[in-house]
Amino acid sequence: MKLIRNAAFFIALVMLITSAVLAAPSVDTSLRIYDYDGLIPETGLTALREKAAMLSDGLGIEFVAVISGEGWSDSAEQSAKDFYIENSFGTEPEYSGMVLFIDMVAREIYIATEGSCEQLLNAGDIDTLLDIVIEDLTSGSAEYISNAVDTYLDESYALMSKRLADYTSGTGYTDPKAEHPNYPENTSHEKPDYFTNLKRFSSDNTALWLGGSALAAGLVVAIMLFLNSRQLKKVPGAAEYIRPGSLVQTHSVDRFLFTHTTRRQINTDSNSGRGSSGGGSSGGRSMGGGGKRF
Amino acid sequence: MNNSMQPGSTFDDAAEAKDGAINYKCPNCGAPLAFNIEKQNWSCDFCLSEFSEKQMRGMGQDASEKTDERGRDYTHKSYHTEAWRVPQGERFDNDTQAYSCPSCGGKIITDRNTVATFCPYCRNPAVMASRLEDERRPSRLVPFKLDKQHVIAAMKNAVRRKPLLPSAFRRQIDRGEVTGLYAPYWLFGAQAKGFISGRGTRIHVWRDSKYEYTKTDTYLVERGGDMVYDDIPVDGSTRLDDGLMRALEPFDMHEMRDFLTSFLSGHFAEDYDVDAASAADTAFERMENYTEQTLRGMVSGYSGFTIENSICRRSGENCSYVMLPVWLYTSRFNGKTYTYAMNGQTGKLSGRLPVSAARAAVWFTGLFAAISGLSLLVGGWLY
Repeated sequence: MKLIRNAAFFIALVMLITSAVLAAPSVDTSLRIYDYDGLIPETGLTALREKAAMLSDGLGIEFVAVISGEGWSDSAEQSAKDFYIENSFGTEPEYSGMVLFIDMVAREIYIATEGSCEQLLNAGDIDTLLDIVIEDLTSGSAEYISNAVDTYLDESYALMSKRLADYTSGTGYTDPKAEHPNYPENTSHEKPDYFTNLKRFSSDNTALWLGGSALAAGLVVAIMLFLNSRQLKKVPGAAEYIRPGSLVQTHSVDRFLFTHTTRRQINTDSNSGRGSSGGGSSGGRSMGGGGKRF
Repeated sequence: MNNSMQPGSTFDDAAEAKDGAINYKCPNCGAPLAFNIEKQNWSCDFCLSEFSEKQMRGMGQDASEKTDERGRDYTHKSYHTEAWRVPQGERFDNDTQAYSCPSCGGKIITDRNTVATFCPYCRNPAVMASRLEDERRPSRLVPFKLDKQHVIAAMKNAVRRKPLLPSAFRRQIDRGEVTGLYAPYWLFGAQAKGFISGRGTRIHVWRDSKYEYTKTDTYLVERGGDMVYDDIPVDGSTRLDDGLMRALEPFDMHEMRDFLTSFLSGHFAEDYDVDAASAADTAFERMENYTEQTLRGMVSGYSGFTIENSICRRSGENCSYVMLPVWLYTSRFNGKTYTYAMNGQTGKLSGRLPVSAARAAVWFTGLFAAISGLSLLVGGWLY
């Protein structure tokens, strides 16, 4: 009996330790910039990490960048999302933040977003960020990776600042400035992209939601009207009046005339947009984002 | 009580006024005799005597099998338009005609198409036999199989689970007026040779790493076939709504009986006012549609098929004049009369139910509120 109790305790302890180890972040999350290919000099890496920390603290949104090397078997998208989620990046409660993943082997970059970044950045925003980063990556400069990450930090911060300000002025969103003293002044009152926040029932898209609801309700009532008035109008078909056994097929021709083939290009080089979810990501969380090859 | 007719009595005792109106009377007690739908015979409600079709046919003036009492053949006339022409003005100078009730002598005023009705004074059934002569005599008839109770039951069933139906209409179903009518019908038959041709397409889609390809193969498709049509019904009364009557089909023509005037006793009956030539246009149009529909059903294996040419040639057309049993149900609601028809043989119902605008508005508002609320929850607060 004692043996069983000791065994159960041991198994429980092992499971506890295993889960604690698995749950613990595998990287130092305070660094935020990770170069697994050794392409950024140490001094440059330190400067980028300091900048990422400052900007992240400033907006309450985590900016992360990863440069991968050999040994990353997943796609840039999957790697970005897994890295972000498994290391518990992001500012709670919505894990707000974004990660730039640069796959140097597949020559592909991906920006994954979560929380307020996912909500406020639309496909066009992600696309623009990707293009700007790719511009640095393909510039031929000796410090192209450092420049790309630096640009990503600058542009992401600026864009998110603007989007937060827009959103705050439009919907009464909690003012990040009150909580984050480094939040930059922004006098722009440009309304956010109309369709970006479509899934929220807000003052910006109320008319659209109400119109859609009215349409749906109208459709249901129309179906009910149809069923009400259909009223046993079915008239019998030919089979009712053709004498059984009298039907004989006397002629049948199927002659090939011509063929016509069309082709349509499949859009594979850019899957930017917020529609992609974090399939396979751990923790039941999902992320938006987009990626491109360079 | 079947076969209770006393020896020597015949249906020649049926009272007939000089103007041709007939009351069928029980040979035993002289009370009115009407066709009993449930028992499918003729019953006397007073002395409970019952008489079979054979007795009625063998004993009385209805001794016509496929011929009338003058030996003329009324079944399946060959298709000659002239033979079907209504003898205009021979009997009807006006739209109405007065008959004397053979029972009470009261005046029965009918319009020119009524061939069976009830005396408004004594309520005895009366058949205007004089209007059922020559070309006006139907060759066959399908007797009523379902009685008045089935009509009410069918109506109650039809208004079930109809959320937009006014509840007041639902409540007054029992109060509707139900009338049994032998409706005049023309039955058409013919041999048909059909041919259709058109373009059929087969679509194949595949893709490689860069492109999606769609290959469309186009074929010339032709189908031809022979078929024989029997008993396509076209109602012969302008007073009956064509759509309503068409939706009553099909009737089971295998249950047709040779016409017997006494079948009409106890129901209303109408003579035709649409002649066979006019009805033939409708019937032949239906044949053409049926032929195209049948041949189209022979085309298979294509993603799409469009008919470009359709031909239907008929031969051996035939036609007969019959009467088919129809229950008419009418109900007044909100100042409007709603009429429904039920097939007196199969129970199939046709008609259009009223819609409550208020109920539709309530449903719309409720659904709109529910969908909006759900959207608010899912799209906003719970997101």
